Amino acid sequence: MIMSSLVIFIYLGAILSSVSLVGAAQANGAFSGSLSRSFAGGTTSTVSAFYLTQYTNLDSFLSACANGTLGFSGFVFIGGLVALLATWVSNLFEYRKVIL
Amino acid sequence: MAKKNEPKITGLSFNLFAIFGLLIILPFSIAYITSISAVNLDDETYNLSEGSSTEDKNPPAQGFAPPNQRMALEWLDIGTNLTSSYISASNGYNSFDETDEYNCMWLIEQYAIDDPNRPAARDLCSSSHSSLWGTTQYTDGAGDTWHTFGQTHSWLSNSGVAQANYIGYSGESFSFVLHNSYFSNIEAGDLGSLKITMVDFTTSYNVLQAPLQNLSYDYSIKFVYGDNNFIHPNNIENYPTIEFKDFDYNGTNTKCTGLDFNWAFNSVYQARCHVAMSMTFDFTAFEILELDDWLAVNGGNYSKVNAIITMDNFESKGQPNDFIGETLLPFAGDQYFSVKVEAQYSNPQVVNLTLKGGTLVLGIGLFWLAIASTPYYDPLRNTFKGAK
Repeated sequence: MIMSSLVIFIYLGAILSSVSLVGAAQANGAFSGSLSRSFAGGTTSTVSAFYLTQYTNLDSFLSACANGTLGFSGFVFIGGLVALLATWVSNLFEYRKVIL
Repeated sequence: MAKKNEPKITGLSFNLFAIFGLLIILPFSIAYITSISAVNLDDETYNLSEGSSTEDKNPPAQGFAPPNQRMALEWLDIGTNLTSSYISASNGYNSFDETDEYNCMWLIEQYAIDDPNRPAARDLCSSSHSSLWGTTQYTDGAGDTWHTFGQTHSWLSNSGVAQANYIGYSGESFSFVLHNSYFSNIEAGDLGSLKITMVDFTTSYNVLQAPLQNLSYDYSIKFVYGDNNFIHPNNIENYPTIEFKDFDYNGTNTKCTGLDFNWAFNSVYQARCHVAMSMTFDFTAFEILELDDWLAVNGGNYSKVNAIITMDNFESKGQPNDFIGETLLPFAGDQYFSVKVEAQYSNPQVVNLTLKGGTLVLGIGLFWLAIASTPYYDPLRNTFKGAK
């Protein structure tokens, strides 16, 4: 249960990263159409999330952090990740950009 | 040529840096710190089959052995219940009442001796059940210590049901308990890796005639902390347990060596093959820490640790539907097989330092990246005197 809920962080990070990448690319003249932006964003999100969940041990690491195996350090790590994702989400809503 | 006063790092660059950090640097850093923690194993392998705690035991002729005489290995699940096949194959008498040998066969296939749900009549069959008899510790020609145990259906050749021969198939799911007699031999450190090797030395083959099959199966281990008593999945609800799953084996069902001791003739060295397989529990750095914590919380005494090993999803690659069928397995049959249990030790203190220290640094890095992503603080761009 802990593991499945923590995977949300990975998906959220992948989505925000792709939003940031596509936004930055758009600011530099690429993906002028909304269709191409959606396609690029969707593809980047999917590939990033697949890569993070299937080819890295990020999910088991997060699980070890959450269940206390890594002690205080694990909670600092999760806190840092939550702070980063919360900042990016907040930026997206307030400034229409993920990273300022 | 870059113009004077042009920012060396722009908003786009920082975007890329942050995303690169999250998608590339972070996963690789995690992989790095976990891998350097995991390799913190002693090079030396220790044979837990050695030592007085696993010396030969003499179980009572009937009924249960007392705790100090429990065997080093006992079957919990000997596979599919094939009693009806044995009955039809033997064409023998079949009254199937409480005094009938086939009733005893059914009870043996259905209930392990440690199963608290076993019917009372099962106790009368236990003296003829697999590893409860014939447990022998011996040293091979190469100096390694092994134990012999009864195979899953060894009771066929050691009980009154002598009319039924082993039909060549036991099933696709098995489990057994490794008693604390093995783990009480852990002396030099904390468990980091455990390897169980099973070999049927009763038959050897020429290399070209070996019954070679590609084999795969899954296996798991559940440690149980408690006095050496009746360890069974239905009987451990009051004991602390910790389980590690998702181990798998992909290999062959035989092991051939070069010039090796000929077990069949016990005299000469020549190339021989035996039916063999192994399970290696290479615990990750997280698992080593979990196991260490679990053990410490429960008293830290390895002589109270037992382990339930489960093997399932056996497949014989290349056979129709990968069905295991009559593919030879070292522990399936009505004779003996040999087991060697080996351990490698880890140093949880070093694992702790590496893993927790690295995690703390990464966590602080994430906080720094979060702050740097706001409009209020730009440490990276300030450092490089970057974008305005």
